Amino acid sequence: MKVQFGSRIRATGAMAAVAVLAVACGGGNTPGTGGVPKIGVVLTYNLPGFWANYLKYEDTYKTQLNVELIGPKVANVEANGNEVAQQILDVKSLIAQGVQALIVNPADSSAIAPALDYAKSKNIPVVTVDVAPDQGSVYMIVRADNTAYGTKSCDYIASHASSPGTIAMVEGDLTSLNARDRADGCTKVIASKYPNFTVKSYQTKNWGTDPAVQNATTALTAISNLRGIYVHWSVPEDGIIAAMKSKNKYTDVGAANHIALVGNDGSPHECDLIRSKNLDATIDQPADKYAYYAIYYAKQAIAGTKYSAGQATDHNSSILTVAGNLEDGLAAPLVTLAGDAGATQVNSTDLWCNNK
Amino acid sequence: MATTTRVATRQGAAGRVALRWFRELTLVPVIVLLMIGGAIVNPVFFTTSNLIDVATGGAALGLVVVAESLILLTGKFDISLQGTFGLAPLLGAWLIAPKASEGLGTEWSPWIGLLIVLLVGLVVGTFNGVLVIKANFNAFIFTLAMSILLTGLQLGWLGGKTVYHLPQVYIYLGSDSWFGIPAAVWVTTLVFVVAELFLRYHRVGRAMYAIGGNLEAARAAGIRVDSIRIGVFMVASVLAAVAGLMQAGRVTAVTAGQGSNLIFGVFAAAVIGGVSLDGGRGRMVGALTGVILLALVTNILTLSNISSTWIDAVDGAIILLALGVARLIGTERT
Repeated sequence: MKVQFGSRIRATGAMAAVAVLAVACGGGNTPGTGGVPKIGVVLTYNLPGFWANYLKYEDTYKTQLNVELIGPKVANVEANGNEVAQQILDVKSLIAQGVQALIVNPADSSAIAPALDYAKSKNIPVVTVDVAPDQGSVYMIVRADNTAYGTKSCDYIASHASSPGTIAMVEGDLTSLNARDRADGCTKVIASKYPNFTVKSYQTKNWGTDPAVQNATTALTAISNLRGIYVHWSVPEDGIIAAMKSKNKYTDVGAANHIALVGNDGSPHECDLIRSKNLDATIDQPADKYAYYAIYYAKQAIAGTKYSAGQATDHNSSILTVAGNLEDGLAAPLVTLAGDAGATQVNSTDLWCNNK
Repeated sequence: MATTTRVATRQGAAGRVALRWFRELTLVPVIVLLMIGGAIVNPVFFTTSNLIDVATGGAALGLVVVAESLILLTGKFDISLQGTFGLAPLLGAWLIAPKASEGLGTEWSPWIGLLIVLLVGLVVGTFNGVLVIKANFNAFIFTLAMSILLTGLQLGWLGGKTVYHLPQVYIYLGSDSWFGIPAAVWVTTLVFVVAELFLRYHRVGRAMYAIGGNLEAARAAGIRVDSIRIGVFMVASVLAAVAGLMQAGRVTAVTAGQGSNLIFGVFAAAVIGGVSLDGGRGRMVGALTGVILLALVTNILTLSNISSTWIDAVDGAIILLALGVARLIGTERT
């Protein structure tokens, strides 16, 4: 009890700081007891650009949804290497600070289980964002269908190629379910729909930018019938384009014998690259919707709302079951300049890249 | 000039010279073996284009290896070179990139950005040098702490964001080519050559060997031991900053993780290349073979499509093998 009392004082201190900021916006100076739900946030920074944008949206939506967010506690993947242990500590410390629900982006699909079990033992509901845990129970997973990322990306490359050939896939960190799903989606759609194409995979540890560019560079050299490069995330794209240019293998999107480049994330910079015909396509991984629905479901969890598998949502998705947990599989469209064949046009205001 | 150095030079008779070259080139058999392996793994290996890829991949690492080797020769080392490698280009990029690419938004001229990169290197190097040499801090623990600090700043400054879409001037070193070969490769080669010649023929270069070999003797011989050692720290940090810029130019972005774990590869390349951790022994030619070896390993592993989860294990095994060969032949005595 003493511990909890002590931490409550600390939490109040933190809230007082938040309240000072809130006064300017007309918020009252009554920390803690005003009925505003308190939600703890635990993130990783495995894709820095994406999460930086996520945090920006989180700031907007916490006011809109009237919740108080504590955190984010960030375990940095590239710098530490012990991020899972860090996340377990973060979860415990936030619960000790009296949060009523948690938003977690697990650094590892399996290793997050002890943190989830701990939260469950304290009756604190957890919403995971972007990553589905392999085990442990959560209230809701807010995530896009990552298998579809791979399917749509490689389908695009194969269907736009002038003749059959090879697709180089620069994979993200395969310890994450997201990278595995994207890889699966790509290889499966090529195997089933485009038997004349082959996929050559290059793995990248820790989503490292430099190794990814190096992998793509090797692919450009090693594969003579290269039709396209599918890179699982956006950061290496500029480097890959530079590598194509230095090897005289670069052409604008739409040119004859063009080697396609498709990334995933849907960042503002990617949308610029698509407009300037440097990048063929991306997948809009909706940072804004991730932030909104993570908070939304955390709030619903505190209110005690129940969801069930198969239920349709009001935002063009439905509730699925993933490893025993419910998931709101958010729509993540392919984004291209033409915007045909089911893709979204790059200037659409539905995309988070245009929603600055 | 140090008597020890002069004696060493006089002993450099033809036989000795041959032996020394032999020692510098102990890694060559390993490199030849690797190249044969590479050719078997993938016929693309021996194409000009792929060999240029290898060189490009090793260029930034090579520059840091020169930097670290210079410090090692004088009997110290600097772990924080990897922190400088990340932080310097990040700060420069942050000040010149527009807000949309996660910059500060001041959009200063890229030339100022380049200046800041060099300045960060110079400041960190001076700080390390003065405190390790003059204040006599333990080089290992001091530069380790510096490294953690710099990497932490790199992460904390922008909250883990990547600065991307950098101006042409800023990425020139890492992205442009001269006569079909990347500028980075030319620059690194030039730095190796200059460092080798400097160490062999310049008064200060030879003094560095004397300092690393026997500090007190060098001091007694009238060498300005402290100034030289601090100067080496400064030059090394600037080189590491330029190497970071090179890497940033190649991927046209600076990530918050740039440089993390780089230093292990740097030490590995220097040591298997015959640069002694105890100071006073080693040559740039040897260090270069170390860099070539590591770059080849990375390239061959990529060409062979080995699972990335195994790359570290294979890397480690090959470094151990190279150490074993060096030991057998007798260059590596530490």
